Amino acid sequence: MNEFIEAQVALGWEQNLRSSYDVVIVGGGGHGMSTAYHLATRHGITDVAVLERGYIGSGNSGRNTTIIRANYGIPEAVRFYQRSVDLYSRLEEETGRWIMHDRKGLLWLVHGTPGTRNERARSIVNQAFGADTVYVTPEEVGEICPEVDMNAGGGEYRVTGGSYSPHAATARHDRVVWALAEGAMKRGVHVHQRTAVTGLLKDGDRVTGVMTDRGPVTAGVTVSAVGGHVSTLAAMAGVRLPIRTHPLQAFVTNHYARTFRPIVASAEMGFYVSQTPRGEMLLGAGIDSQPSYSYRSSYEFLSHCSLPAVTLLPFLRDLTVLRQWTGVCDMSVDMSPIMGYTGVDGFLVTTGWGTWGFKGIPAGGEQMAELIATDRTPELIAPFSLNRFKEDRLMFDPGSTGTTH
Amino acid sequence: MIDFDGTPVPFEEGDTVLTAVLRAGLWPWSGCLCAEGDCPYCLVTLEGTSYVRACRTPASDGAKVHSHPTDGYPALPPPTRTPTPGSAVGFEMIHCDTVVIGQGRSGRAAAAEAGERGRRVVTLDARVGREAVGVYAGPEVVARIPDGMARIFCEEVVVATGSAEVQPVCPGNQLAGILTRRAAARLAAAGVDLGRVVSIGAPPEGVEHQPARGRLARFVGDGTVERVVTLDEETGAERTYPCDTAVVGLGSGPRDTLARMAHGLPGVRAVGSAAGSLDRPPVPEAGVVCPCSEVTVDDLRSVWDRGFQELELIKRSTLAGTGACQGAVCMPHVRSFVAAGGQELPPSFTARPVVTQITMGEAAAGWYHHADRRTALHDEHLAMGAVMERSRGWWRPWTYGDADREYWAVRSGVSICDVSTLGKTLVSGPDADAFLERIYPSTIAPIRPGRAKYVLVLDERGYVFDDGLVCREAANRFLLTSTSAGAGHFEMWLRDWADAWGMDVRILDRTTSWGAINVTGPRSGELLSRLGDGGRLPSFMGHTRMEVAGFACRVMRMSFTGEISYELHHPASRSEGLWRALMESGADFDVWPHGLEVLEELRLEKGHILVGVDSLSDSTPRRLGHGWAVRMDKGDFLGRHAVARTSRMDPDRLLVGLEMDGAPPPQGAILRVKGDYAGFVTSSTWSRVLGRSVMLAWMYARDGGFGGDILIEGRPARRVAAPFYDPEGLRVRA
Amino acid sequence: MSAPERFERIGATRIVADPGALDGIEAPDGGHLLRLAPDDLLVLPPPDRVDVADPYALVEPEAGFSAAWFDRSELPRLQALSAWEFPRRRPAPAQGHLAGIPVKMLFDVGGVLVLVPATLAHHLEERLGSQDRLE
Repeated sequence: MNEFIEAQVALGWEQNLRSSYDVVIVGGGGHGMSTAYHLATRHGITDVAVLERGYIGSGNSGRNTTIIRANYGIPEAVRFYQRSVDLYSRLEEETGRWIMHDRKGLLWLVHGTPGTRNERARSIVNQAFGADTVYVTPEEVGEICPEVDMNAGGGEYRVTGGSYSPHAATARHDRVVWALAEGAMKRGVHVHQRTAVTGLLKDGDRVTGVMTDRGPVTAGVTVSAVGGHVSTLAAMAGVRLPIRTHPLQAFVTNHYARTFRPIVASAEMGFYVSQTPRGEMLLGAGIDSQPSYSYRSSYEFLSHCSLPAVTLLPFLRDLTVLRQWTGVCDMSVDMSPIMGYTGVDGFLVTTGWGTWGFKGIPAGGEQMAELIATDRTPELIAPFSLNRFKEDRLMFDPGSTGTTH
Repeated sequence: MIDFDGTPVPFEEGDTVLTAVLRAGLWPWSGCLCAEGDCPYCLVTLEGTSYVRACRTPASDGAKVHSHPTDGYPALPPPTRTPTPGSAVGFEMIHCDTVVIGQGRSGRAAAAEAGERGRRVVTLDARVGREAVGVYAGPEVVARIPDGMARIFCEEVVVATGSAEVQPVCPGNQLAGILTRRAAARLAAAGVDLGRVVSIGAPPEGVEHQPARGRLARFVGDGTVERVVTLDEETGAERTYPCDTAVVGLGSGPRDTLARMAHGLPGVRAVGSAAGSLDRPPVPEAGVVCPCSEVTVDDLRSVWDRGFQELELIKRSTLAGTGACQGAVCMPHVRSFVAAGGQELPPSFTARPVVTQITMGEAAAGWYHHADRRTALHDEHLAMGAVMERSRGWWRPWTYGDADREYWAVRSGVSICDVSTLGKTLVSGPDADAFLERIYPSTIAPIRPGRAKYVLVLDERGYVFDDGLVCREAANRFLLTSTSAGAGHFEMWLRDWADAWGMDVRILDRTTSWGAINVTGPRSGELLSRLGDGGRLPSFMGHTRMEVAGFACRVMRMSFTGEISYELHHPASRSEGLWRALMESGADFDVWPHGLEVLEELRLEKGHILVGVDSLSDSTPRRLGHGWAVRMDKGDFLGRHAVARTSRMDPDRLLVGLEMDGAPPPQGAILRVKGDYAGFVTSSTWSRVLGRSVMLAWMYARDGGFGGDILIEGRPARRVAAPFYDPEGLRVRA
Repeated sequence: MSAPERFERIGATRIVADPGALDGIEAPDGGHLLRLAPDDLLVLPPPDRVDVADPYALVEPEAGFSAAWFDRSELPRLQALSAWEFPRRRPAPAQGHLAGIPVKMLFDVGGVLVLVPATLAHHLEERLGSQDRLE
């Protein structure tokens, strides 16, 4: 018996695509679904349609490496992601669905004095804004993760310390989408799969709905929760987004007994690893440098991710690779998300989710729903408005640009 | 002999582990064995590596083989083993025209045909230990070959992987003693005693068997199959066939994982059975569909009934097809299941690498860690006992063991420092003056030959991304310096803009060709006069060419440390000689080198920013307190428009100088004003010469201003204008 | 397999000038020209004097490269560490990565001269030296 077979969620599909909804959300991934879920559960707004071109969770929500963390480098980001960490830890209780939430802790290792200083700085800003990251010595690294070769690479990558975030967790990405979808659908939200948005309906400068391959749908508010081709959709509304899309790759090994506890990362060496609830070792690295919408994997990635991993954690050497895959990341120029108003009436975005989209699902949806319901930008996401690029208030975050996503 | 779970197993030439173990009368595997690498049933742990297929592993003397756990997963290897990564795995890159994967009939034909066309052909075939791992863009084929790993670059790939047999799905299909018809034929030919064989469907060739009539209903047995039960479709009657081995011939489908993986790649095609169509199996009714994830037909029904009604949603909700065989066993059946729900037969899942499971050690072979650079003085530093640190892509001396000695050598005597990592670029050409006026926000025209100027480098958004010096050598000829961090990009940056603007300039990066040694301290002039060629040393912010200790140098007088400093730029081939001459000649001054650790203290006491440490990615000159380095009364320059725009906004943050008593707070320490967050420290140090802590910090505007008492770690800090040390700059000009 | 030659820092002359002015420069006796870019030429060994028909030419001693000569018989070994295929004509210049390190190569009938940034030469030495197992 496989305990990981989904045995709880029941998805009640609505076949009829109505010609009008109060809110139309484009994109049935984590952020679209979370926005719909929070509209329904927090604000009683259920005249909502989520339109998904493929199947729900088929984009980056189903391709990410499922890490939840708040150890960012600027106060605004630490606060926002810590909110998401908190919401994630309550999601199973709230929805009654098992999302395989597992608080593993994240060990972020460094290999020299400059890196050591940076991790100490990270722990300071984290603690000041509600995240529990602490600075750790090499001895403490060895206690948290005895598998680490402290003299990695014959000393070239000796471990000089790091930061440890006990709050960091993982959850099964698909199940997050399904739990939110079910919760929204139960309350009357329509989720339409295999429904592609082909254009926007406009009345003058105002966006009044979407054109789909199943006909026009008018909406009081249209929200783009699209990943990948978001720039194309926004351009239809006349909104220019400072976003470039890059592939991001990952791979898993076969299944092994679950004995590897924390998430371990080294930005300097360029990889991170965790063990999934099913026992696969899951590895990732930085984004591909060349912008692209391609989902194709490369062997270079497998090599350049494996080498540092087997160097720092030699036991990985004999594990067999099972499967590699690729997602795409919408990278804003300051490596932070963009949420809220666009300057075009009736058209909102939640985008720029780069490599941090999965972490932001609960808080992003909660805050977007509040914005839609109250027509006011909540304080928590005000720093992440699109306006910041005009107002020269960028959110460059040294903590988001590392290797661990 | 093979050691199989402690049992010695003899083998014959050409045996796989599977053949040898079965011939020895053992049958440690459950499920329907295919003996062709498709099913996940014959997995073993070989010399510590799990998930190895026995049917793909040649038997070898002394090999230690363990059976795969029947309950749960293999343990992770112990953490104590620290082998040298990659050392045991060979690697090569191969270049050819055509790669043919699979050497069955169609594969041999394709290879012969390509050979006749004069193509250089590489063939792969898992049966002879040349296994394709994946087909990637290029096209590139990655393979495991007897020597290790190979990346094969080619123009065309022919996938001739043949067909895979359809597996039985019914109750009892996880019993031992079941074979596909091709497996039965192969094993019988190898001398494996199959006992009493009952066959269902197409019969095995060359194997004595009793054919079972009717449709397969179930297998029955206690661990091992004992009876096959079939159903007569017309009468509904069951028939029972006692057996030792059950052989199933349910048809086949294309072994097309590689072809599907390469879908859409130019230059890749499938031929023969690999390009064929699936013998669609009957809709599964009961039994295990996906052995890797233990998914039964009931599980499929359960998720289907709850709305998971697409192939991908079924896969993700049951995890069918995500295990060791990557869907080879279950996919035909799950597709039939979906089609029975009223949809068309859906296409297979997307195929992803890898198709042959390599170890991470094998994947790492042929790859290298980031290549950090060494200056020409690397060995010299090591010989002097330096602790080296990786810094912005270079190995640099952090300290020579005694920071106090290093520090005071600079402040009160003479010290030398390897600054070869500085970016150094020559620019000349008819448009060189006009070009640099447009690159930099400072005025370039007033710089006279032999003089230098400190400059910021702005991007189009008006953000500082580098700084350095502009040294004029002649009309329309300059030497530019940039930070070690920026050196790698600076030449490209200049060339791109020269191109974009159509400027007639010559640009030559000298960063690695020239070494640079900074001679600094109040007695640096004395030391250089002793070693110089009699020419005059330049005055502050001047430069000249002269010989030092017989070595041709560009000597630049500037200062980062706060003391009189001469940077000696010279051919890197002369670095060691120059370094030693300085050390020897300065012995009576107690000359001693300093590393990066002390250099950071020295520059911080002078309030010099380190781009990338003190600056953020959106630091405007005004935010950095460097508004003076921007001249808006000159012509156009990079970032001018943005600087003009942002300077009309209210300042929101500033890089400020702070000092406090007691120990320095760490980098990242938080500034609070009236309890509120007001910024953070970017660099800090205890100043040996001043006897207090000094730092640079970002401070955020509160109520439109930057006032209020600042607390850091609960201690008061005072805002002071940098430089902290020698604010009038008397020492560097002395 | 014998241990690879040690890479030694070499002397050369680097000329960045108007492309037309570089076209007219000839190799010194027994030496080589390596055109790194249309406006960028490396001359080996450094000639006593160079005349460049460009008043703005940058003519500089080049000390940034280390080099080693590999006999023809060693080409397969080098090729196995390169993701690009070596040229077949002789003589032929090439630049690209060898064992992950940027190099410039001058192929001649008898073998190949490999130039590497001196700052990375130790990496290339190590990487070429660790390939014995393939022989």
